[in-house]
Amino acid sequence: MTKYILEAKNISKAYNSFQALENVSISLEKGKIYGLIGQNGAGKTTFMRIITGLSFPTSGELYLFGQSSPKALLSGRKQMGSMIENPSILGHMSAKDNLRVHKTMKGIKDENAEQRVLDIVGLASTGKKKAKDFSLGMRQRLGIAITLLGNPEILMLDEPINGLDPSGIAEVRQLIKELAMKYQMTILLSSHHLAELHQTADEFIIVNEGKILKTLSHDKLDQQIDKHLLIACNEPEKLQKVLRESLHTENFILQPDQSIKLYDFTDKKEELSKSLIEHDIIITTFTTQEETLESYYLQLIGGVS
Amino acid sequence: MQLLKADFFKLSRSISPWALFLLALISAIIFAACSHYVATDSLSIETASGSLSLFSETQMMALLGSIAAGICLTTDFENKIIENAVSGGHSRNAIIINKMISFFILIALLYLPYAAITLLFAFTDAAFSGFLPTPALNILSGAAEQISTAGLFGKILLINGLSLFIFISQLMVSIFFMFLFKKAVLVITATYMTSLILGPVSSLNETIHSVMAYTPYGIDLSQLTFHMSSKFIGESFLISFVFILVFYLASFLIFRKAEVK
Repeated sequence: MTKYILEAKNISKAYNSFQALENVSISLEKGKIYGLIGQNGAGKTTFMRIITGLSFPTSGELYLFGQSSPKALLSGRKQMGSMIENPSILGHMSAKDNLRVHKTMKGIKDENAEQRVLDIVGLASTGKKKAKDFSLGMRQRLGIAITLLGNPEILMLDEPINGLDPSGIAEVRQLIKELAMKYQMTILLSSHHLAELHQTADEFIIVNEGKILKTLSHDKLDQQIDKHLLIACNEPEKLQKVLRESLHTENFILQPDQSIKLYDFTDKKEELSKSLIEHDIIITTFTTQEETLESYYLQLIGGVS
Repeated sequence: MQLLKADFFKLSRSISPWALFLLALISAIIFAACSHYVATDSLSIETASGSLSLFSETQMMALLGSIAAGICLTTDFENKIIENAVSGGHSRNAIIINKMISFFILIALLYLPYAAITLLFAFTDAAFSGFLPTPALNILSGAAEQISTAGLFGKILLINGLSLFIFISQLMVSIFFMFLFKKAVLVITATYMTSLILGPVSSLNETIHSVMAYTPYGIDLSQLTFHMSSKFIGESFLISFVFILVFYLASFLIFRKAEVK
């Protein structure tokens, strides 16, 4: 029995001459949150659409719960909740009626299923209000509620925090973490909010131009994200000279605003500041900084396109 | 079955199927009234068979049936219900069959007022004219010559049933268009245009007519009377059934590996 809930092996997808995905292979473990990172058109949605059966790969194999036959994939998808791009919502119906449509489609017998997921996403008080009158954030929450019907084992959420306000984002983040921890759900989520994804996901899958550039855990990412000192002073030229000649380091970058990013001495700040003061350098900024997931991602794909 | 139940719940909460049913009901009443007034010389046959022929079941089923297929069923592509059915593990074949059953029920609902009126008035003494050779008027005008028995009731049911089956098969192209275009407006236009065009096309020349005779568009609806032969019933049923089957297979072929967006 495989330990992976979902496995994709060398999935490729071409639309005529355009290669949307090229040999994408990933393995998702139970109860983990995976962040799918990539630019628009990188292939994130195409990949999710293939997993959910909305699109077919040109080549490669997909395994759900260790099986890959067409029948097993259909059966596996019954244990999956997904929201790809926009949620499936009928505007003329209330949140509860929308959930009832999807509950019936999934064959869920539980009479309180709608109320339970409405409570989870914070839409319990919407009553008979029609979905067409919902805000974008409320629609997103309803979309998430639909995916949660029937306690799926896998959740596929494509840009789930689009349109949510900061408190809504924090609530969804909390909810996603809780679902993975409490119900052992495996969650694959894509988002453009990389800072948000950094706080939510356990594992990161970085996609660019249809290929997986890197997969790494949260811990490994933190190790790879460089720590540096940001120093600003009255005489940047002199500071560079002191760093080179007195402190014997070339491991720094002069920023366009004339501040300096120093990658050495991060654990010897006292020694450094003492030396700068001895050389009569007046320091205006002296702080430890870490690269963000965003800068790591940009560095990986070769900068802003 | 789950998809069908969800469809019924969705349709019951929607205004469009009820609005279409109401239009069919009003049309059936107007059409029966026209037939009665023509029979009692209160309305000229020219007026009735002119603009008022729009209210006949042949015209209304083509129009309302196309709209129903578009608004009530194809919008499921636009509001991502089909997408959720696919990602929820329902097979593409199950989705097509579910849509076909929902469609058959919708068409039956739209035909119901015409069937109800024929059943209601066939057992009264009111006079009706068969100013147009449509199944409903054939029943209403022919019932006066029949004795009111359970047999008459059965014959009316048979004519209505066969007539409904032929209309369903004629409109079955909408299911194919639904999975081809995935847009309500295109499905309505294409289905209605098909119904409008194929009728006159079939009478263009002998060759086309003989080919069209093997489709439900070529079935002569004026023959749906109390005196229709078993051969006609059998052939009409078979042609319609095969047509439905062909378009089901065509729908399956185009949707089997189609991208759902």
